[in-house]
Amino acid sequence: MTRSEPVSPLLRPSLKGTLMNRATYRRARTRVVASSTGVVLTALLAGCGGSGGTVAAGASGAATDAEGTASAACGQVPTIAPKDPDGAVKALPADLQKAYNAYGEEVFASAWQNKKALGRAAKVGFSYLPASNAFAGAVIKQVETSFAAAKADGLVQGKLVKRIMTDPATMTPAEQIRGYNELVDSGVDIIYITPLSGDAMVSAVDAAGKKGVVTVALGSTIRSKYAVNVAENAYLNIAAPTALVAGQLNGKGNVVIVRGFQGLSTETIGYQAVKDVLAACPDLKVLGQVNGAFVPPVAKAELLKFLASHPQQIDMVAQLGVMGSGVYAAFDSTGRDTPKVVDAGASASSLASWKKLETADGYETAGTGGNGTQEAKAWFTVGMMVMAGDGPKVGTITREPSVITKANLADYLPAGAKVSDLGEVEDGEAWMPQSYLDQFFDNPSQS
Amino acid sequence: MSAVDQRAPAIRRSPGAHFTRHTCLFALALATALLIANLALQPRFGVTAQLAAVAPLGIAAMASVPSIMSGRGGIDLSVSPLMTLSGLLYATRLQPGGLGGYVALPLLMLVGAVVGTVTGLLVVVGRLQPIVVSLAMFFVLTGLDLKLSPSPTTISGSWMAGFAGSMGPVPGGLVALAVPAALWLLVSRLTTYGSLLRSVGGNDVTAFTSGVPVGAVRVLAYALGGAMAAVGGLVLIGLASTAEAGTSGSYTLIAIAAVALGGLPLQGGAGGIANALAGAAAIYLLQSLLGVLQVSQTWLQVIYGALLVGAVLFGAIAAREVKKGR
Amino acid sequence: MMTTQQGSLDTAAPLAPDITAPAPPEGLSAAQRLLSLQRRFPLVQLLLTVAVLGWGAAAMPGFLDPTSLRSVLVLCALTGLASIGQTLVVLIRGIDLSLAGFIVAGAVTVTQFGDVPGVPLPVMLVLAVVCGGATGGLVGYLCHRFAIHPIIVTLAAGSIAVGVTAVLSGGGTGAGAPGWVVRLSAPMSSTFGLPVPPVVVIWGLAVVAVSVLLHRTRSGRRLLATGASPVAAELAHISTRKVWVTVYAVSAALAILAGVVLAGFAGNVDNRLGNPYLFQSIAAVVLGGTAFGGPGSYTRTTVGVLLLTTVSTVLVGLGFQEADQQILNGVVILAAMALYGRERRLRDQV
Repeated sequence: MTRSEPVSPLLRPSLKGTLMNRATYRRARTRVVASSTGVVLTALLAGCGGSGGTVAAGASGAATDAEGTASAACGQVPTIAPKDPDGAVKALPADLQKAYNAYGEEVFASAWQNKKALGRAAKVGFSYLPASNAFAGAVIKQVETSFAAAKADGLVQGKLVKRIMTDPATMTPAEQIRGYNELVDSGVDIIYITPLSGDAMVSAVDAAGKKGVVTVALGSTIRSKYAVNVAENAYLNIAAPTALVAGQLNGKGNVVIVRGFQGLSTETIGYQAVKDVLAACPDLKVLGQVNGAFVPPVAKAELLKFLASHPQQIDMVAQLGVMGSGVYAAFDSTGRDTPKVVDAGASASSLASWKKLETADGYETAGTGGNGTQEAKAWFTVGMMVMAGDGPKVGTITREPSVITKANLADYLPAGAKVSDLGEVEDGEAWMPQSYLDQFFDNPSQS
Repeated sequence: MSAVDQRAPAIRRSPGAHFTRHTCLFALALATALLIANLALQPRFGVTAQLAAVAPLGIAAMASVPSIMSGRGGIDLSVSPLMTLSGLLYATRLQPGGLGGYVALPLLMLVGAVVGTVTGLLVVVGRLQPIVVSLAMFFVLTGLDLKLSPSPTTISGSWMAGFAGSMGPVPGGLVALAVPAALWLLVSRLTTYGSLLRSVGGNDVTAFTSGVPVGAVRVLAYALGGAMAAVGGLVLIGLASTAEAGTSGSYTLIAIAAVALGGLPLQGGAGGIANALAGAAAIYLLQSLLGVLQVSQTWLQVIYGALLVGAVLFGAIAAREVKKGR
Repeated sequence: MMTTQQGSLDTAAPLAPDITAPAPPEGLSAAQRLLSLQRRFPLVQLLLTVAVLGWGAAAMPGFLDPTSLRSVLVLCALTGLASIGQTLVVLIRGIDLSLAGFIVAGAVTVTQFGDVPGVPLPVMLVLAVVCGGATGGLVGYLCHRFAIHPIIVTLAAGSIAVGVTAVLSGGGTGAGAPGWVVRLSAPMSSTFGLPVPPVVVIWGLAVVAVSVLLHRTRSGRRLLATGASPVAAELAHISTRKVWVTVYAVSAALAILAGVVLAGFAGNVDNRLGNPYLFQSIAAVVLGGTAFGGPGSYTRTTVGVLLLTTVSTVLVGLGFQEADQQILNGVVILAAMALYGRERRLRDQV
């Protein structure tokens, strides 16, 4: 084979390639590949990493540091003071402060406390994520209903200006920020947002707030004083039912943790809650954890893999939200005894499984309720109250979780619900009724 | 031997380059039309903010270009987690370690280049298929991202906030796009690397027999892509003030869609970052337009998908002659 | 691999007897013999699967229980059924990113359209398969006719599939899948008395059927020829366009059927149901050793599926974090491919 001179003086001629060395070279290369593969496989064998894996409690950031306090006895929810830089929580009535126990994010005073009433019908914007489950679908529907009702009352004008992400597979916080900024530019007075990432929205919300635009967030907390967050207490949401179940087991047994979509701060907070509660119960052994990604079918598949390698009795499954139906399905399909499932974020399906097991042999466990319609109603009301100049005392409005137990199961279980239903739970108790919300405002008017 | 084969093409630039410019022109025309529509419907378009928002997509698309141009099924699916990795490295290592100033940019570009080099070496020395290698690197980098920061890390008050606004008189988004573009143009225009890459992508066997160091060219292509992607990570921090591992894979497919829409031939050998930028602009403006038109959520995905296919179809019809000739 | 030198016209004898044929390989080392065996048979993958299974059994008691094995087999069967289309598409040098979308379409059909008045569910399913197949065929046609790379067209087709189903079903959340669908993939169910879940049996039959169709029928040969060399296939009067249309149509139809089965497994259906299966199918095809354009076969993909699922199960069982699992996924793919998936050297292609 003839070759011309290399084209570019910039690049040296190739080192390999004289026929003489080819065989030796090839042998050497095969050996390298083989040994590196051997190394990799040995690493796999040797790296029987953490049974019950230790997760480096993430980098600094939004995660709660359990400034461990009286981690009470087993079966009780730990008491951790919330992060209250402005003292806004302390200024609330004592029984409301309980709702902020161990709240994962900082709670600021609200910049809208002294906002004057708008005096005219407000223009409303809505930035939301594509509905991929019953909860999200219900939220969107309720927002539209509430908007129509508010329009009839003259509180709002025009159309609900919406911005949704185009493609669920490729949505990014940056895309939501863009849509949010477009809403601000289009001249709305208030924006309702279900953030993909609360942390990412902070600077955009600050900038909008300085222009006088109110942001009301549901679900994820935006740590800006220009945002009014309406959210469940993610820590208590998991800690309360977990503690109850730990109590039901008398603090003894094997536990499996089903995690959510790692990388979300609500997931990290929930995981910390489980760890804190279980830390107080030395006889509850964590067998391992599984990654459910907040999608019940994924939780089921991963749990099946776990069960395939763990034939021992499992007494408790602590899942970090909405995956209860997947957990029940996994145990049901393998014919093993169903353990107590911490049913945080219960659904009609998971409650129907409860009921079925309870009727069969007195099964009991604990969970938390809440559906899209009631949360969206409260959310919309909060926004309208801020616009009416009611003066929110604090930037994050939260509540203690609606705990579901055997006693009040009937309140949450939709009539005739089957295990295959995809819907949400019934209202159970009022999520944030007007009387509750009024306590968070300086001068509550009638919504 | 020299007398026999005169029709053996030298590195021919005219038809291929023309038509590539053509298809890039098609995407440009589409983007312009969409821009006009957007401006008409949104009186307060906010150029600075929009440029800032399109920057990550544009950078992800640009970072995918060199590997595709290098031919033999070259592709880099690991661009998106690499962007996140550079952002997370900044947030968890560089800034706390006192290296959070402008020096972070070249440092992270170096890291990106190293990761890209690893991918390139696996493709060239390991002779593994690029799509397989980049898929594996995608997994590895996603895992690394999660390990670095299981929960989102907030960064406040960094110089990258300028990317979301303005850096001096220039919109931050433009600066963000200019950095990787400058790197690419420097390497491909000021040296002979650009033509070497095109020859390798066009027909690597011919290039090899002409003495072009095909392996080195390919590895360098992946390294360049990695360096460009690293810039994207800093831009993301500038936009969102956070670095998080949860959305590390978001830009993967849309970056490929952007370069395909921009007319970059996916078999390699032609094109440049103009295709990436035009395609990214077109997709971005398309999404923006659909948002402004308040398209109902149920129809949104159907319309988006149909428009995407339609646009690519038009672009492909325009360039059909060259493709037949290949 | 020595080939005769071209071009030395002056020295070659006009009628050279016994023109140098490639010399028969003498003294092949064991490694080279294994490599050539590997080219025909997914040897390494099988060995790795057995090794990982053994490791799992050693490290975790009860790993090889019949119940556990059944659960793992169900998971393998689901991934395997989802990967049939991907294998066929990869064999003709394409790729199918619409898998996720069609899976969701199939799942939604079986859960939402079970009680349309006047149209029994089986008819609905046939309709869905036909529509999906038509869309897939359109995708193949567009890709071939206009020489567009399938990446973007299949991506868009997937979104369209999900979107159309969402529109037709009103975006509602309905009941789950009918009982018979659920029983298909329940690990504890049995098929005609055999203690194996039906979906595994279906998968086994599919492996046989696809292999026979691919390697023993004319259409299969046409498919393989199109992948191996589109130009040569055209010259051999094989309509590569028909092949592309058919393959993509079949891939879409199979994805819809996979979605139906998945709906039974998953219980509730949402838009993200198909996403894990997209990457898993590509990884399985790649791990199995099927190259873009061939050579390859569905049996290789099957072995790839087994390897992938086994590794994943063992990793989950041993308590690896998600981050570590992802990293190990990537490393395993690279290591496995380094052993058997390498292409020819450039200088050997001159």
